[in-house]
Amino acid sequence: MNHSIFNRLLAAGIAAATFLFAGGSIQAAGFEGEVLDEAGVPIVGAMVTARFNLPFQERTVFTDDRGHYQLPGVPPDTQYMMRVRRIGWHDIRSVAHETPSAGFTHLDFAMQRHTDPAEVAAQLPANHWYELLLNELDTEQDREQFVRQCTYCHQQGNAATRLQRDEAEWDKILALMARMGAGLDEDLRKRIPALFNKAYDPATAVPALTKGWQEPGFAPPPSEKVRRAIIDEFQLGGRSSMQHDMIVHPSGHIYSVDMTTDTLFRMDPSVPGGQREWFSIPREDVPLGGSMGSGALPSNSEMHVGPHSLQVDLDGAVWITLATGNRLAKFDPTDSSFTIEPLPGGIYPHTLRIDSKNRVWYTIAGSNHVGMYDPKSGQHETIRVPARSFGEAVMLRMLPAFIWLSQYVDLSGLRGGGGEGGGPVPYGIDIAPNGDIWFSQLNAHRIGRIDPETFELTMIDTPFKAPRRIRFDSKGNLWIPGFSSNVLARFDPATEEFELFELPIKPVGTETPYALNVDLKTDTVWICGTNSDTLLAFNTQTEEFTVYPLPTRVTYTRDIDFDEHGGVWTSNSNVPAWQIETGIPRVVRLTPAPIQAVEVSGGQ
Amino acid sequence: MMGRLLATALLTMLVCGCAKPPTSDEQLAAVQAESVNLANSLRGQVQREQSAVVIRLAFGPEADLDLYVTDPLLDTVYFARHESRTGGVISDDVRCDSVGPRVEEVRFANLWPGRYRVGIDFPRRCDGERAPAPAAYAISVNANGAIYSANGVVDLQYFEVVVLEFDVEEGES
Repeated sequence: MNHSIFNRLLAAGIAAATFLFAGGSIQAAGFEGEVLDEAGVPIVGAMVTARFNLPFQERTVFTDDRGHYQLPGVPPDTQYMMRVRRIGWHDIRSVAHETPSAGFTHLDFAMQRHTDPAEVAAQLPANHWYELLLNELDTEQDREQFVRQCTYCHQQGNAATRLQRDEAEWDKILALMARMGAGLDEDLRKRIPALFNKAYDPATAVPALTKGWQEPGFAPPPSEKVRRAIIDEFQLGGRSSMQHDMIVHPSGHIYSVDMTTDTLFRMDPSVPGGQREWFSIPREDVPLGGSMGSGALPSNSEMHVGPHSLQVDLDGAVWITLATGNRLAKFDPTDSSFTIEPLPGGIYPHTLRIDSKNRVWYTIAGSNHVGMYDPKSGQHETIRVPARSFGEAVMLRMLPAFIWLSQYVDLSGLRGGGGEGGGPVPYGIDIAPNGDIWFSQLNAHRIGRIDPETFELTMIDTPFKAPRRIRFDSKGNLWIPGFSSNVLARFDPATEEFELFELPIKPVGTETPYALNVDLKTDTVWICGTNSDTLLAFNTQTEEFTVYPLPTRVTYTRDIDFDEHGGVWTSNSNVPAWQIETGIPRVVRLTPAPIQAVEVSGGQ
Repeated sequence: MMGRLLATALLTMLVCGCAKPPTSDEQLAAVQAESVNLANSLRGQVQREQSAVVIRLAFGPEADLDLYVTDPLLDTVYFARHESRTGGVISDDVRCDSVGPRVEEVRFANLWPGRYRVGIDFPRRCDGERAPAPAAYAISVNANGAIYSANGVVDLQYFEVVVLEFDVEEGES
């Protein structure tokens, strides 16, 4: 591509960004300048972030190969805090910068090299540290078990989890985590405290992580394509929040469920900074903790019904699974009212989808079911999914009795269990273009198909571990992330064949892809880089990955959605929230390089 | 694995078929009385504090209890998070094998106005048994001179998320 075409495309992109604030009455402004080192050498791939408003929005762009950045499309006459970040250099934080009424404020930055390798190691995403621990695990069984069980809710290897602790403290933490549903088998649980302490010993960890840190190849900048992306982050909720899932509504609003405060958030991203509203989901008579009791709740939790996932139906209503309330909720955006639908059976309704008949299909993780609710007829179906063995099937049928018994007898030894324990856990669900219902069983390493009319079931083993949140592309291929196996899988329902693609996150094998979604305009598969603070794009035609680094440390993502402008949305739902840099969750919009949007609209 | 689970489950159902609570009224009354004693002992420790907010949890040798304090910014200090962003700091974790007073303490050097939440977890019995049994506790709070207290019982493997909540007003002195 010659430079003039590129410049025109870039200008078109910036113009588009200028009008990201819909309504047209607000003239956008911005910042531009150079990021250089102390010797005046351009720093390529630095993240330049402008924060404004409270609750804040942050917009981040990257420097190009000349060290130049241009941060467009933010409100004029507004005060900003600027941050410049690049691994290997000290962060720059600078306050009280103001945008003009129109156009760009020129702002240059001079970065200072780190001299202490420990500070460089501290800048690395969690997955780099995580590799040190994984290297201590001798068998694939131990590795897979640890990855699947111990990254359910938060990253491994971030600053809060890569600590050395005395073994008694580790033991208490592991016991607490087991009560929260993440159990290791007895043998690994005994060994893991010493392995944590060995892996995260700064005396060995820092040299291992920073080998060659003063050489040019260390922490290379992202590609030119990636550096033309714009990333927006909107603070949402508070320090006790868990923004589990979010969606983009056809109206353009962002809806997000805060699981630990029983709140539905709505944000209008067309308003500068994002206009936020929140709606308390009716708790009715559900006690704190709901069906989980309060035996293992986060300490700052206000979770009764536990809103988990959400989808928009054909009429524009938002349906929500209330995981600990064992209910569905319907939110009507026209009058902001909720309707609560109790469920006839099952424990822990999880992920949901809406079919072409406006029926709600949802996995029921705790009791190994898939549910269906038809709001038009009032019909409920609770479909029992096959267990892995006769014994497990009996256990699952006795689950309500166990819950009752646990008030009299300690049954904690039956919980979690690690290894292949912990129940099969129906997890992701999606609806094929032909109407079939497909779902995954996380711990059973299987996917299943349900005939939407006869409810007949077919189960298929996956050739990789831990299939999590699944999606179909426009051609009917099912895409599956392997949470503990570092793969993206393509499954053809017609031939029942799988094709696996190893995720390219470095160090290889340290990613935990929680979810993915397919942009049906391009069939690009977007994948959560849950343990590496990234989003990954997979071009299904060229079969190439593109890795987009995200600016906030500890960005733990669980779902992805798309807006009509090409924005890719996700939320940071690390639990506990205090592990997140700044301690408060965000919803995130990644706007890929404008050239992509131009190419797509050009029909290529 | 499943066989073991099934056997455990069936045995449990046989043993507990009558669903008799393992703690009699007399035992419960004794534990509650012990919680009053713990509260009295904490009351004797209330003094002029150097820190703005001090929360103490006292418990007996039969249990390992854990103190959780959530501050007005909804940040929590507990045995695995030794210091919060607001400067709340927890003392050493008191476990079954700890020597000395069985008191855990969280201190905030500076006053943050707003609501504080105190929770208690009971992860294990010190006799190694796994059958449910209540344990006594007492809480005392000195919040910039205002005194709050609570006492009672908590069950094994049960996290009492809210034992006590108190508010500190802005500018309170």
